[in-house]
Amino acid sequence: MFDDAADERFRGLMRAAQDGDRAAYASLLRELAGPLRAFCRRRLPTQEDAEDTVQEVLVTLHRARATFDPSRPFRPWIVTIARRRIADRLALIRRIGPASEIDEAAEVTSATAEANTYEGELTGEELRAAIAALPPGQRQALELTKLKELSLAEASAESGLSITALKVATHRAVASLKRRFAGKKDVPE
Amino acid sequence: MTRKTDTEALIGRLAAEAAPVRRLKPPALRAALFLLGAGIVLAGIVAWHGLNPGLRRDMAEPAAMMSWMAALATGIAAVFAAFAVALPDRSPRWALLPVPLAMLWASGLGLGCYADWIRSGPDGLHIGDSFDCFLAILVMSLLVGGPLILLLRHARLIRPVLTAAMGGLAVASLSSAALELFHRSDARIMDIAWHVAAVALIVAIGSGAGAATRPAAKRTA
Repeated sequence: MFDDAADERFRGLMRAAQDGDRAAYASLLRELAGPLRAFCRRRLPTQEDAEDTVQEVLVTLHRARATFDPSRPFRPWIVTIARRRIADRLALIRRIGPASEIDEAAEVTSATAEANTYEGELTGEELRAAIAALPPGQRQALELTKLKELSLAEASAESGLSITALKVATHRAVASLKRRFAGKKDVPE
Repeated sequence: MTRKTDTEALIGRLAAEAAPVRRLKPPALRAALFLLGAGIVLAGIVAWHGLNPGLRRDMAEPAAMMSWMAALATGIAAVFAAFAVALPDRSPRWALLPVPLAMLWASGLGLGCYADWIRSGPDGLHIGDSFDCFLAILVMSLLVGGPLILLLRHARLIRPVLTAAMGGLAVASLSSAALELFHRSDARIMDIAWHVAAVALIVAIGSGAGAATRPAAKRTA
């Protein structure tokens, strides 16, 4: 992923970051993003998947930063984390397809005006009941991204879920509502 | 590309909220401290029940002694393995450490079953008091497993299933070894079966719980 000189530098930055040096931490994350992007890109089908995974790796690095021992090399530590998040992403792709497809589905349902047209054809009561019947994760995602109209980043900050998780849960919630109202007319595709 | 901008924004946010963190102590030291604590708790339970009166006679049999030592050693090795595999820069091959000991333990249990079968035949196959072994191992495992989960919580980001399986094996085999000290066991097949069932159940619960805590699992929400 990177050479020994870079390893030495990252190790120093990580040690400083553990001690609370935010500037060192920001440098570490910025300098690491490039090699991580290349590492992820080689193992994942799309650029979007790679970039999402880089973000997941950075978040994991952040949460697990107390587990790094600065007397040991940095590379094995970060490579294991990157491999774990790549494996998670590959599992996600097997379940629901590559990122670009998820995004297309999310875009179809992202206009709030469209979301509101459900009420035109269905009663508000029916829609509320259908939303209430969704699994809690999907309901939360739908409420945050559609009903409260938060951006994905805001919704992610509020819920603690990753951006990908929110996209997938919203996508599933909308798909489930569509299935439920499949017999009704004028439900937007 | 918006995603790259997102990454930049994420880096800014992470750096802004980066409070100092206390580095974890070396895994071997943490494992040793946990073993000390677990040893005190289990010794307390053994003392409260009182030692099995037939213990000296039971342990005089080399096979029984070997089986007990193997259970204890499996537990100790699994604790060290759990603390190692929980860290990203340690090899997952640490999980192999308790395997030969667990095999030795299992072979000792197998011998016990065989001896009981020769002695009592199918008459030995009744549940009787053996179910108590199962419950006792479960309760002791939960007691020492709770703190272990706390100590290994960061592993959910790294190798949750392997770490939890090692942790489960650790607490179940330590509990099984402790139980031997206060529970009168004639190495009957059903006793052994319940020991094995309890250990297997705890390892399975641990692995399942580990899988459920994986960050990726949230995506299916």
